[in-house]
Formats: sequence, structure tokens, C-alpha cells
Amino acid sequence: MDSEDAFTSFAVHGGQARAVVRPSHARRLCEGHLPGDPFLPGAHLVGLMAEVAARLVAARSGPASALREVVRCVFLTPVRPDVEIVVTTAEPGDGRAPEPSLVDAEVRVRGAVAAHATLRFASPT
Amino acid sequence: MSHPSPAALLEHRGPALLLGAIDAFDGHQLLCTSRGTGPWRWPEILEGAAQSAGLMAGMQPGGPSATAVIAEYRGVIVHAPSHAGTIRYAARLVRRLLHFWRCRIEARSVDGKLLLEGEVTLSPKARARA
Repeated sequence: MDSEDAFTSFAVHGGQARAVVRPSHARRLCEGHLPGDPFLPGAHLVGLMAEVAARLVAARSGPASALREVVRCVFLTPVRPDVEIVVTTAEPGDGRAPEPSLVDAEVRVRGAVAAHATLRFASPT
Repeated sequence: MSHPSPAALLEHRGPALLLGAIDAFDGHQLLCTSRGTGPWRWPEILEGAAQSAGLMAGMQPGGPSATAVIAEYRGVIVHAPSHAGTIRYAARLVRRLLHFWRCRIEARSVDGKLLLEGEVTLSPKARARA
């Protein structure tokens, strides 16, 4: 288990959360992936988005928010460990019927979206 | 029938190489075993499943190299947030569309408990994502 927080900052404002990935954590996630051309594995990007989303859900609904499903996650560009990696999450705003268990998330580098996902958490009890 | 080592086919090294052996491949489905016993958090289980899909697609006629990268995850159900022990992975081709290969993936404990399931879409490294 990680001994340090994966993020150097984390903030919730309204229905959104924003976190910056700790550079040492990003480098650790890249170890061996891939030699000479390191970039973060997609599964770990999903994991980072889920972690920020879980904190957002916890802030909204209380603790014990467990990820149930990666509804969809799309990767647009490789995410290198030597740049600032920003993870943002927000409740879906695409006009679907409200579903409190869904959270939208993005990974941004240099201001551009590198990956985006919709995640489903356990419904609040 | 013996199969090559995942390390001989994948570019992953060190802690990023999550597969230890290919157990079976019938042309449509690939079964393999984790490298080590963890403990694993669900992102590592998902990454292992994706690596098995990469191997499976790479072993298809005309498939991408085993260094294909992930373009998308879809409908990935996390049945267990973590697991300690050997993991059995299964990857099966669902469809091919242009340069993209969509695979069904599953991860189970050695006693058959389903840990994670879903779909992953792979693309050639030149179209690299993650």
C-alpha cells in the first residue's frame, strides 16, 4: 500500500473535485512501463480518476464509496510522468437522468484532455 | 503445447510486467497466470487483464504487435477491490474494427472467484494512448 498521498493537492468546489498527481507517484506508476518510453498505464490512470472521484462522492454522500464499474474510459494521448498531471471529476452533465452513483472524470496534461471516463460507484445508502 | 513467456512478447519490465505464463491459447481465447501473488489492487488486476488482451490480439493473424496500447475500457465491473494470491486471466476477441481490436477480459482467483470483467479496446502503438 502506498505510504504517501498520490496527490500534492486536492480540492472540492461545488460538484467538482480537482487534484494534482504527485510527481514521485507518477514516476513509480511508470516503472517498467515502458523502458525508454515511459508513460502511465491506462489502468493506473483509471485508478487515479477513481480515487479522486471516490473522494468527491465521499464529500457528497459520506464515506464508504466503492467503485463498482468503469462505465467507459477513453485514452487520447500518452501521459508522461515528467509533466503536471491534473485529475478532475464532476457529476455527469450530459442531460441523462440524474444518477447519483455516476461520476465523470478527466486527466489533463498541459491543459488538454488526455483521458476521460465515466465511473459508477456504489449507490449511497 | 508450450507457449512463449509473456516477458518475451511484451515490452513491460520489472513491476509493470504482471503476467508470468501463458497457459492456453486456442486462437480465440488466451488464458494466462499472474506473475507472483500480489497483493493486487484493482487497477493492477485491470492492467494484468489488459496485458493478457494485448498478448491475445498480438497472437492473432494480422493482429497488432504484442506492444499494442489501450484505447478504451468499457463496462469494467470491479467485483473485488483487491486480491491476494495468483490470478487467472482470460482474454477473448470480441471484434476487430480497422486498426482496433476489442477483447473481453476476465480476472479470477485460482478458486474461480470473479474479480473483474469487462472489455478493452487495443490499438497499435503508433496510435498510442496508454
